Amino acid sequence: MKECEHFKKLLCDYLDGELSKEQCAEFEKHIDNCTNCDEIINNLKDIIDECKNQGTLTIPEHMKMSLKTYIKEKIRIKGE
Amino acid sequence: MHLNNQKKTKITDQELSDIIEKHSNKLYSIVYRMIDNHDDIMDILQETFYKTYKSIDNFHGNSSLFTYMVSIAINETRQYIRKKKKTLFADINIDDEVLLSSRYPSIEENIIKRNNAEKLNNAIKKLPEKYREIIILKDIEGMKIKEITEILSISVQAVKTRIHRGRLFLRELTENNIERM
Ligand SMILES: [Zn+2]
Repeated sequence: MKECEHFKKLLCDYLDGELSKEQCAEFEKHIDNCTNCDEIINNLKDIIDECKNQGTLTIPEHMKMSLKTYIKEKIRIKGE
Repeated sequence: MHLNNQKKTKITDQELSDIIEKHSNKLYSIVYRMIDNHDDIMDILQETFYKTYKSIDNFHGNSSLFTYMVSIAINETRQYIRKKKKTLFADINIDDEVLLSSRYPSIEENIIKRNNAEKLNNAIKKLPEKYREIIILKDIEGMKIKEITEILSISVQAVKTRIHRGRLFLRELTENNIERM
């Protein structure tokens, strides 16, 4: 559908809250009536949610310690 | 005449430790998700913090220190991947357990959650480098579009386009089967 092409370009702007109020209303009206776009939107939402769930990893303590030691040592050697 | 050519100590040991303390998780997380090798992560992080230290004077009291550090880490990672590709024609092979254990400590915890995480991580590993970068920065680490424009030195529109393509790519790679909870 030609209309879908237009809305597909706006998918991520919609998901990231980057659309204006009018654009947003227009978008929602389309997905209410289009199972195809609605499915894509739901897939993307699930993916983004799962990415959020992943979150930031924690550096192992020994790596952090050796990072500190390494940088300080390098600075000392280079006399900076 | 006395010329003071002696470089001043830029920051104290304590300040340096504080910077590492504050930013190392985020940088580790980004680099780890980009590459495959724990030993090489250390090289990249060492280089990142050392380069940060060398240009620390530009950042006194400046909130953009973090974005600056991420941009160094990304550049170091890109160089690493480029070098690695020359010697080894293999895609990344991140240890799933590290990625999963941080979030899902026990197998019993929740099978669906773990499955979803595994599917997503497998898909992210298959993403082309530039889409992997953008998904990690935007959707996993939750950075703002404005921050990402600074980190990658590309326009807002370019960031948005990349996010869009990256997510659609990810959708294909996960074959639409991230399960809803
Ligand atoms: Zn549609």
